Amino acid sequence: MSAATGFTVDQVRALAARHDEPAWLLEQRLAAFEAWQAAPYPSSQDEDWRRSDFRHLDLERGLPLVTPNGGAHPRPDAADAAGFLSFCDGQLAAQRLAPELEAAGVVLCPLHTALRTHGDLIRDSLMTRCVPVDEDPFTRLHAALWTAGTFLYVPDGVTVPAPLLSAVQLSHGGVAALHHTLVIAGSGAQVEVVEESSGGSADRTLSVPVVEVLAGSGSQVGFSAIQTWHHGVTEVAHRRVWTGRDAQVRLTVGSLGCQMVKSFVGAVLAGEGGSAKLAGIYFPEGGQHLDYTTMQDHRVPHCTSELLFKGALYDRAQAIFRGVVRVRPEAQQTDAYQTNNNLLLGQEARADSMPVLEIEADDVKCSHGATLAHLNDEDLFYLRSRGLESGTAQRMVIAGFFEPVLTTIPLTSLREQLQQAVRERIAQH
Amino acid sequence: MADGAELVIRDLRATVAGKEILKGVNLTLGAGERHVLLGANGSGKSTLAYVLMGHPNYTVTGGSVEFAGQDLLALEPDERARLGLFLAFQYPKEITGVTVSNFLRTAVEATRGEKVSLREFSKLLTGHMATLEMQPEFARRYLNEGFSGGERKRNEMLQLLALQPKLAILDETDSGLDVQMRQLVANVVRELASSNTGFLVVTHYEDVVRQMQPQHVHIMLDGRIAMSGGLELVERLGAEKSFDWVREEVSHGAVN
Repeated sequence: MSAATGFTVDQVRALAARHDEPAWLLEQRLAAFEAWQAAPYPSSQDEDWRRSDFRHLDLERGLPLVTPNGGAHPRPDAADAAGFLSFCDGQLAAQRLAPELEAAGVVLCPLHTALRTHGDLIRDSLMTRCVPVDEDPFTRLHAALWTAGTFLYVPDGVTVPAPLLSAVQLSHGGVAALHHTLVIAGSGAQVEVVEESSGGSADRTLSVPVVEVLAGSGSQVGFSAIQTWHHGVTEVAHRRVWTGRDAQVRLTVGSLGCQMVKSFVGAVLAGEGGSAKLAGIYFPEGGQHLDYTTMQDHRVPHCTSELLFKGALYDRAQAIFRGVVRVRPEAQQTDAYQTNNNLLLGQEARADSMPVLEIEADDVKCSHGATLAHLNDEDLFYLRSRGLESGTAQRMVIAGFFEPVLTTIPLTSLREQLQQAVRERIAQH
Repeated sequence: MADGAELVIRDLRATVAGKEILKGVNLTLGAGERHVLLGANGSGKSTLAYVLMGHPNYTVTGGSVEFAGQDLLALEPDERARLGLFLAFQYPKEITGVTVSNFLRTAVEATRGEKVSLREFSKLLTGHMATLEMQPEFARRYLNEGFSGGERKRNEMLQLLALQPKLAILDETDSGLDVQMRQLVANVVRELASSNTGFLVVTHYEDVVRQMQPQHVHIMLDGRIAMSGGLELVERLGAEKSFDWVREEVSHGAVN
């Protein structure tokens, strides 16, 4: 490893200094960096990692952390959002929050800004339990070098009436972007958040986001993360929700961009009576490679979790879905299920689906189902018998395939943009 | 082609998975006529319906079909539909993510060959759904997904009303329905018949046959039309309770 060009401890210290970070955070970063340096790659023996090789990233060579380059910052199209926070090249580009929400104590701001006002809350929550620092080499790398972040706090009992948007953009490539998102919803709070990542280039570009959503007791929280990165970008993402008592959470992930994705999507059911819905869509083409590990982690009794991941694959695209349902011994009366549907549209496309049930309690309901299909001639015949041309019928079936997940995205403008992106991808093939 | 005939089937033969099901079907329907097709299970009624619509699992091995002056068998299923042919499916497919309303509007535009304004379509949809006693939210559901048997049939009738074909083939649309629903199907047939839609109805139910007042009744046997006539055939079937007599009379050459 060449310390001169790799990710360096100097990068870590420079980050902390630039933002005048508190001492505890620098310590967290340095400890994470040291641990990462000792083992920069996940073991290829590890079930979660052995199907995607990240050595091409050449992490030892390092990457410059993303910095502003004076590029234009398009304002997000978020007329129907109650507020937004937009980052370009790791720097805050624009923000807005409805005044009445601000008055109600809602905070939507860069994580570095929030460190000054909500330091204790962040210290208690940031990569401590939802996505712990030491989960794997990429969580360590992220903890050491996260560059910018979205912080959302919704106080107890506050309802945010329209979705909030967090936009993360890169105007160029050849950099590492490590964006952290921390959402904390108080007891009985209600909020929907949408995060959109886009940009980058074919130059070696690495995105390592971490999303932590902490849903307080009785809260209702939705989080949708959609990436439309340039097809040259590699992303290693961890996104997870943590539910308090009787909390109802939904986490939706959508993947249209990137060359290669390793995505951890999960819910930790940590409060009795909680429920979590996880949903995902992926629509790769060309040689795109998407690798998901999902986790429905039931730690306490009387919780439910549902998962629905749907992917359609063109060309030589490859998708791996490893869906874990873990029911710990104390988590009696768990109700959990997962479904993974794959639609193969390309001659050489491949999809592997692996359910993993780790059930240590005895009074539980768990089920899983996976389908792997091509376009069905009889389905198409039915549509064609009503006058629809073959191409129209095919487009309708493929677009419809994603609808059950797309309709869960609350921000109308983003949902329509995605539906449009899906239609365009279909039209190109 | 016979004068004014809409559909002329000559010596039609077809196989599914290598097995011959249609063994020389001959049938002529005049424009706007109502025909009923009866026959035991496995006699080839549904196969005939599918073959006419162009189902991909069936292979035509002989014969010809003319419809609206064209060689039907040379056309794709969607071309047949745009020419005015309609098949109400016995087991319509579930199409996830495609709403009844979106599908129907696309189909209406496809068969008419022109855009239909949202306003006009809504009016059309609301009217037909009222005729069929359907709740408005039905239009927002995904096509046939989670539909009960009755809802599927109603949905097929909705499409039939919206598309106003020249000739509608109903493949046991009434089976599994209660008397009330069968009455509804009969009403749809009557309503469309008055605007000169022709019908070829595959059914098992006497009450439906009587209500639709067909000009012609046919009985299929072993992949052929074994007998053609009027309502007297239905009377006889009602009395005999089986198709055995058809087979006997055919084997004695006492047909037609």
